[in-house]
Amino acid sequence: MKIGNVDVKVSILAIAVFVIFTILVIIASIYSPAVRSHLIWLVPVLFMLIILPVALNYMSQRQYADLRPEYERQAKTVRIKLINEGMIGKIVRIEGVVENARFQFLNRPQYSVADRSGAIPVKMFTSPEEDIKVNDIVEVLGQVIRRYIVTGDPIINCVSIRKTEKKPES
Amino acid sequence: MTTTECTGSPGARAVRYYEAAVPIIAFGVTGAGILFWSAGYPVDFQYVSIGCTISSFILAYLAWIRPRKDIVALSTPIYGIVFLAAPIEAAAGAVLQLLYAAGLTVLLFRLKHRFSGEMSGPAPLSPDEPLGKYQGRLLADMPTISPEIARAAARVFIRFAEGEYEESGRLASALPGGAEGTVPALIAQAFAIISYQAGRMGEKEPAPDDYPTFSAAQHHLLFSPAPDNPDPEKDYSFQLDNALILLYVVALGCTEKELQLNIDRLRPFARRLIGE
Repeated sequence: MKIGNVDVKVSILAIAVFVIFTILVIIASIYSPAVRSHLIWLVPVLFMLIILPVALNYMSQRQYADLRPEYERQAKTVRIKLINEGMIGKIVRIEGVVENARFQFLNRPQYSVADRSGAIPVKMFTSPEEDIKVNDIVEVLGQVIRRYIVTGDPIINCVSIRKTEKKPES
Repeated sequence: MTTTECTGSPGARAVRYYEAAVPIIAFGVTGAGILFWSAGYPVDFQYVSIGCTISSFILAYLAWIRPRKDIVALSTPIYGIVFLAAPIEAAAGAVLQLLYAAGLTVLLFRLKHRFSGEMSGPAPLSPDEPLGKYQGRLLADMPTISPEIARAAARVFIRFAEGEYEESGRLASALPGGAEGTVPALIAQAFAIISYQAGRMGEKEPAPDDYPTFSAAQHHLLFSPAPDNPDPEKDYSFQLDNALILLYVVALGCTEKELQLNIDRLRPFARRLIGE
């Protein structure tokens, strides 16, 4: 779904929640006159269950789209092996193969990307621009952060993950 | 923020006083509250918990100043504030605060046991670990490495690890004693490799046809053996990885405290370079 220039994706979880509560409201309003009298506010709240995730996704996609040119400009291409605790806060570009992909259904995907030198977790806090699957060769732009914000191994907070055609650099 | 446990240093003494303060204040204030309550004075245990709250902040500070942060100790002030903010009756308050004081003491010992090694400067490499064995091999061939070279190696390695590749390359090309030929050839070549490759870091071009390498005669002093029939990309990476590992081991001889602590902090990176 496109809103302006922004490709907006709603997570399956948000859709499922909307569908479940819609069914519940319909059933309740069929059997209970008390519920029918509250439909005037129940129906808008029901639609908010889908509108709010769409709005949040739109806002985060726009923010990330604004960040991407800046990250493209600042990022240095590095081998995954060279990413370490000393680089926390640095903006990097890595190229590699997606070994693992999780939580895509939540619009908070987590990947494990590997090149010849090693593998690193890549976390994204919005939906990616493309549909990324295991074994895709990708270019990742992001910032090195700690896994648990103040502590943990270095991981990449991804701003952009795109499929490339070429073999990953090592 | 850096402190050490070297005996006698003001920073180390301050840390010891803070460590002693955690159980003393927590148990002390709670115990005083219990005594007054037993003696019949009206005591509100909600405010007696100020002792545990102060101790939790001190513990969090002790966790914060260590290079590796302990998130459990860092989060104790949250519970301290909850105790201070929530009204509670005397008996339950006394028990809860005594348990919390005990918990803070246990966390203090955990912090000292698990994280104290990083406070006392770089731990020596164990001779059984791969980096330790490599250090032994290197020192057998180069028993004395000047402090200036160790300091230069530390600076280059640290800046490279931090992703400041241009700065690292600049420092590597300004090797002290390089022009006079007083630097061992192996170390000089490591600096040259890093100077060259750091300058090209971030480029998406493939490995060039011509670049600084270790000679065949130097291979026996490198950490990793040369790959058989390497492709150009693999060989290019091989040269850099070995140069970095070599500089890390040389940097361990650096005597500047600040550089020592940074080198120790980057030990996980050095281990990753050797493939651990």
